[in-house]
Amino acid sequence: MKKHLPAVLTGIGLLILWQIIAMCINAAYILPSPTQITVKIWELRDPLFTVHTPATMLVTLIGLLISVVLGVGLAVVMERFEGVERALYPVIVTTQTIPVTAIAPLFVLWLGYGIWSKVLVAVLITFFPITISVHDGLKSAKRENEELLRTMGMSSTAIFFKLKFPAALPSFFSAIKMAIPLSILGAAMGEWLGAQSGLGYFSKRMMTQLDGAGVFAPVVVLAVCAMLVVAVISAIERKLITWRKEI
Amino acid sequence: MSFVEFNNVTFGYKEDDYLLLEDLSFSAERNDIITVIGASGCGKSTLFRLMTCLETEYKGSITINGKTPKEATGTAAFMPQKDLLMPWRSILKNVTLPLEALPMSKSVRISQAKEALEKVGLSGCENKRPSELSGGMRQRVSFARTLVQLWHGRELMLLDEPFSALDSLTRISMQDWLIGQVKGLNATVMMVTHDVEEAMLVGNKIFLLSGRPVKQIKVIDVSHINCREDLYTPSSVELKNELVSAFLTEKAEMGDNI
Repeated sequence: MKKHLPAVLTGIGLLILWQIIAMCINAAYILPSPTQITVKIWELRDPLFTVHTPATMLVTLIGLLISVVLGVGLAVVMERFEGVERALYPVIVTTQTIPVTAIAPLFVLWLGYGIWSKVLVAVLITFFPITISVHDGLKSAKRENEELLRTMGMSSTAIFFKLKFPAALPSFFSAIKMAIPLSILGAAMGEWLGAQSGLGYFSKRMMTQLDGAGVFAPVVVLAVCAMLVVAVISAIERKLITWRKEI
Repeated sequence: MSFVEFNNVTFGYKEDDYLLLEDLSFSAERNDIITVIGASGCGKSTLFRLMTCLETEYKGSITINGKTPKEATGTAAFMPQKDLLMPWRSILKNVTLPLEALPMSKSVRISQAKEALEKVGLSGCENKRPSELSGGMRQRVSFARTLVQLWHGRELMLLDEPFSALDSLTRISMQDWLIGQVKGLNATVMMVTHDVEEAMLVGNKIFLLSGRPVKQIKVIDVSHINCREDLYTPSSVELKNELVSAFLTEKAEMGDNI
């Protein structure tokens, strides 16, 4: 707890500063204060927590799941087959130069206002860091370890499961922790472009009503959700990976 | 036929523009304990890489127990310079690792790994993680991991500078410990070292590699040196001086790459 104290104090300091500035400006439609946002969250708790948060989290989780399956699968294939790596790695890196926000409206055009257009945005944003991190993690297994296992008569598959897979686990968890906020961001971004529910959609609706605190309320909920999920993943990581500092 | 035979072997790494071994021939008999010494980068560890099939692009012929290294996969148990213990495995599971490539039940694997750990004096450390052990203890675990392979048909033990990463006091105690371990084995042992005293103490023969590329190996009989005291007899001191002088001559000839 002691090591988190500076961060907690900084956070509280920033909130106090925000509160003071908002009170000086005194225009909630431009900059609502933290207390006004808290009150708004409480007032809107029913639609926020029973309709829009579940909708956004569903898109986030489906997007993340697809990204993990695709990203890990592709990373494994690229690691096993050098030809595939040479063919795909530059293409994957290049896809990151395409601004997802610019092409996201196309997804709505193709897939409609349902969840799949948002899922696609979330997948496109999270797929890259997962693939690259897991791929680098698999490659991080030391060559001398691999050679030692070969002298023991291990097959390539055995080497993968006994050496490369555990060696890649820390990178996998780092990628997931990085991908969670990105996935939430992708889902909210998709909802901004066109949806019938979700925190992104809710925020946009509040904006049309010039309700500053109402715009901020879903943003705060999104941030809290991201922090909670990352905390859960970090706890699992600490339980599973006790050797991180040793490699 | 000798147990290990190199006949006119020529080898160089693809990325290098020079040869390491040229037309090299030597042999090792069954149950020999051989220490291999030579200047840094002269190809000592390369001999092991060729024998364990990690390098396959060579000219000439290599046989281990009458088979090529590829056919003889499963003949050599290799102990690398670094312990290379897997941090995510317990000490016991690090020792069972080579046994996992063999068809045997989990309970047999565990009991054999425990037996190997007992032999290297590490009973009670089974559930510890590698990070909880000292450098010397980790090397002993690495030795136990090599040892269990000898109980399953492997007849050649290759030790690649096993103590080079240890401090001098630990190294001395590990050398004395190793002598007791290898002399009781029913296996051919080859150990690369850059420590002349270690070479004289552990082996019953020294293979001295010199030149670049290495064209021949000088074989020196040190079977009369059985304990640390034997290192201080006049003949041993003379031999040690000869070997050191050979090193220095080599260094002068090859520049300061040693």
